[in-house]
Amino acid sequence: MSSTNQHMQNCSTTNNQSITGKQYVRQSRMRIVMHHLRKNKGAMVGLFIILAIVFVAIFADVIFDYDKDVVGIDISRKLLGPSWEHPFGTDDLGRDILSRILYGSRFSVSVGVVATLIGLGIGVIFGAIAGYYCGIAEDIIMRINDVVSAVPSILMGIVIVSALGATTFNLMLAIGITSVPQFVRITRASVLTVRNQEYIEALHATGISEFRIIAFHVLPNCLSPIIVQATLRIASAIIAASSLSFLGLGVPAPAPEWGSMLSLGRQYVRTASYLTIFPGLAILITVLAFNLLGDGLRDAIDPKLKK
Amino acid sequence: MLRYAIKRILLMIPVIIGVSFLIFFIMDLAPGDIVDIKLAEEALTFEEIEQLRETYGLNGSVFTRYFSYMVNFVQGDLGTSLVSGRPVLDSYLEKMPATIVLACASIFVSIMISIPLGVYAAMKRGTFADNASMVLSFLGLSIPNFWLGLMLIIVVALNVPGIPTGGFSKGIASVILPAITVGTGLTATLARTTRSSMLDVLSQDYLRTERAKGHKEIKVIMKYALRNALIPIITIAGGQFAVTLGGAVLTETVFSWPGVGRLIVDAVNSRDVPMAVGCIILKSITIGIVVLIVDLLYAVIDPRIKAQYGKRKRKQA
Amino acid sequence: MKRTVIVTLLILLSCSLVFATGAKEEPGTAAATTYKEEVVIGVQSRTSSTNPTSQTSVAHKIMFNLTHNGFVGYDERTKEILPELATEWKASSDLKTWTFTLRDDVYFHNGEKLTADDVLFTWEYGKNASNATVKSFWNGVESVKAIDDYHVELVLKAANIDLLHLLSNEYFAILNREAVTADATKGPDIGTGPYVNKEFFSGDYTLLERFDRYWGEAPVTKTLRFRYLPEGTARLAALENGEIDVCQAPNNTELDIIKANSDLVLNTWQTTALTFLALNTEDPILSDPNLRLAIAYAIKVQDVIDGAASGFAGTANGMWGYFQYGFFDDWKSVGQSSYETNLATAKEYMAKSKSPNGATLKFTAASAWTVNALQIIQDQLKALNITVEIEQVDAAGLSRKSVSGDYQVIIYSVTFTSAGSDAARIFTPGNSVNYARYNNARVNELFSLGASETDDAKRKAYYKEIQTIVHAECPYIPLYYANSGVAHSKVAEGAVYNTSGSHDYTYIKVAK
Repeated sequence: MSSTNQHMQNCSTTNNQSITGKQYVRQSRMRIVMHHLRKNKGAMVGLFIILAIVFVAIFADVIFDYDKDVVGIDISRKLLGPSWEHPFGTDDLGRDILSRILYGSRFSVSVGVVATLIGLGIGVIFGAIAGYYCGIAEDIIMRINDVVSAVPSILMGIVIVSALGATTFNLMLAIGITSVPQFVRITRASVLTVRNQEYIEALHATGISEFRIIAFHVLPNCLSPIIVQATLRIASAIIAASSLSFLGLGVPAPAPEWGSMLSLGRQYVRTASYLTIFPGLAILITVLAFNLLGDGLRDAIDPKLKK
Repeated sequence: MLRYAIKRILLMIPVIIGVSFLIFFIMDLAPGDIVDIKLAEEALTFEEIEQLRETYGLNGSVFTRYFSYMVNFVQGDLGTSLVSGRPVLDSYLEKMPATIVLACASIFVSIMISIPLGVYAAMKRGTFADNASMVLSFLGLSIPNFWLGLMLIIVVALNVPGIPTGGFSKGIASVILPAITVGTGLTATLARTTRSSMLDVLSQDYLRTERAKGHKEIKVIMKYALRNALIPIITIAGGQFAVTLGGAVLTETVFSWPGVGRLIVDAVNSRDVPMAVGCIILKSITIGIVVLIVDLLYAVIDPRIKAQYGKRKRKQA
Repeated sequence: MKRTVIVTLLILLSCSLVFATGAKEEPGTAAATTYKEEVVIGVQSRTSSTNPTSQTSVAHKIMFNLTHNGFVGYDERTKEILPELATEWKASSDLKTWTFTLRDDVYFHNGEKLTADDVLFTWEYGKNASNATVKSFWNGVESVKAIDDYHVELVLKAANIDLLHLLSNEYFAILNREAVTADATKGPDIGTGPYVNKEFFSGDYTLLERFDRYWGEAPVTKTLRFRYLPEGTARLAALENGEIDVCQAPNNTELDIIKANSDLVLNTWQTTALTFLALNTEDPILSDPNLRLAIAYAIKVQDVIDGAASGFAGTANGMWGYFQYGFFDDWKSVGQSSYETNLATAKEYMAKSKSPNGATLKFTAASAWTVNALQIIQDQLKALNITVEIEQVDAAGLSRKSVSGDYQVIIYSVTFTSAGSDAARIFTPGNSVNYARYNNARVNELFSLGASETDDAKRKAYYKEIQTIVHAECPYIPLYYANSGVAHSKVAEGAVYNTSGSHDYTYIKVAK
């Protein structure tokens, strides 16, 4: 009892003393990161593309007449190849593919990002706990992790959507949960390498609370593999959404979503390839942008990689 | 080491129990059951439906059903499929050869692409070539498997003699296209790991010594650097191999490859509970064992890791 | 670096050479009269069992037709019942007692001779069959009596004019007592058909081998291999590549590729699978027939066909198979009109309905393809101010909904048999396929009258009355009969392709 009290006291005193200093350190670190990021051309290109996509997604309603351009069916102009009028062609129900792709960014990008954030959020917490506190906590978390990773994503999708309803958020949830185990594993692995470093042991000696050690000293030094994993995961999430939305577990029709556009174009791979090529390219470009930005961030944050 | 291995194997037991319960429970939550599936094919009266539910033992609570399933499971009986009436274990093992062949071939493809790409990117760090190689490794991840698979069939199988469009029974040539489809999806992670692992090694002093000795750069890279960078690469590749052993549903569909991925998805879709639970348990065991072997290999290769196992154990004590 | 590039290129080159040389085939110089020993058929559906009493789907029926025989067969083209194991049959006047004369020259694949005792055994076995359709049929048989070795008498619990039609289904095949007693799992594989089950690898292929003691004309091809190729594009590519000789059900979107290829032959036909909308008549909003009729008249079926079936389908003009006994569609003669698109009529019905200002309805589909059809209908119903929400569930989810009644509109397909009584399953209560949850006392009565009526004219009159009642009340909106087809190499011949999809490959042969 007494030792914990003392420990807590220590914590609070250190906090009070170091507030101004730490704020300064954090701010300047932020500035350094931004500085490095700005110098990285790839990252800037990525950021620009992401901002453009986000812009289109937000203002999609202003740019398009949803009822006419995006979901308006006109069988007489179905399956038209790319032309001036329809740069990406029209789909099997006569809808303009370009409008649908641009409008669909709203769903697809958010599915990719939110699902990844869900996985990241849960995964990092448990991964950090498992990696930092070895022993029983680690064993339990890692075993539960093994159990969860055994559930096929289709099964997870069916159950979550049937239990909670076929909404976009539930799709994100289903995909996010299936990606949790990966994040747990990767966080744990990098926390393991960091926690035995001398400076962490030194922090113990100062009596800072373990939560603060993990959150402010261990995790920031593990970020690089986690960021890489997260940017890669956005791609898998958008593609996972394509197989789930094919089963009706996603954005309800007729709203456009890249994944379902891809899946439905499957029958036309040979005869009207533009039905799959353009949504595919949209996914590719988005994922690439996130990845370039992610790599830039990683390089900017990770002190080891600076030369 | 041996103690560690035994501990890991023992730890698989609670995992298996957890997996079986979770899948059993989730399958119960999913709307509809095997009788509903049969309804889609056979016109039944409502009386017959009730009768069928009784025969399949679907009327008890999920806990009683799980309990009786586990009683059989402990005795080594994984049950029989509600669809085909065949033992679950037989159905699973029957699909293993195709699955193992595809997993090995895919990892091979992945390694053959990622390692040269990763090494090259690391050597050219920060240049356009570096970025371009990473983007290239990335393509496989962002192209959906079914699309790549169909494209390979149309472009390669239809034009290159001797390469079949699919199936498992056509010998080594039949695995080429499915392996490319799965393998390219794995390159992004592996190429990245290779690059960063190479970067770590390339900055080490001993390489500078080797270069100073007048060895050619390519020799320094291949002989000294890559060898030392291999461990993380093997770990990632091993993990990927384990996951691929769990099946690759879309690729299996496109290439009519008789693997376990489709078996599991078909079982889930047809609400074949014993089949789904049994196959997923078997899959977890397979993955668990492969991951364990990789971890042990890792320890064998790198004495530092071996030491760490000892150290961590001390800490827990 | 250059050297590595060159080395890699060399490796790749040598690899491709190995494959290229390994694949060379001797040119086809053989005489035109010789046929391939093995014919490979690419199929779209997985088969999960070789036991004829366990599965009733079309994919399985194709197999069972080759390995087993029943009392009678059925010719879809002439609509005639054909003798198979039974050469003659006779029904009592109350249609309950049926006597069959069996062939005396039939052997099972295990060498046993077919006798009346095997029929008795099939009945005993069938009463516990794993398949509910098979089980309930054999349980509807009161008794089976072997009069002598080659004469057998079936007594039914209820009269059934369509017994022979039913018995022509492959899953009522006759099994061998000795085979099943000796091996309960593999025994039912043994039949009397022209081909023997040789190897079965679920999810990959089924291999059948010619049976030399087959009672009928011997097939030409020694082995038939059915390869499971679920992806339509890949299946067609396998045909183009010469890996398979027959490609069942090519994608509608790729028919032009087949037509353009002079080595391939395309057969297409309108199937007997009717796609329709079922309107839940127990739903508070949809219980109103005027609203149902308004929807029926507002739908432009041709657009649905063009958008959802690539234009390859025929319109359906009633909820009764066009090939089915008693089909009636001369609506004008009874003062009705067919549900052709007529927005004015639709609006009239809408005005008469309880929701004249529009409604919000949920439409449920069980596959991504039918969702396409629903999107078109969703667009069309905007004209009536009806807002459609589309929901997609999987097969199990849809069935579960149908049992619980928790839905408003379902899009679904049913393949009727040629027997008139088969329509009862969508119109009478207590059936799982009655997705409209339709219950009309007169219709129920007419079906039971029809089942025991021997007079053709009277039976047709009953069925006509059913169709007119149903047409006026509109629990279902018929949409289309999708087309299907088979593509095969131009040297493949001898197979019989049926519109039901249950093809007969017994005499298929492919010239070398």
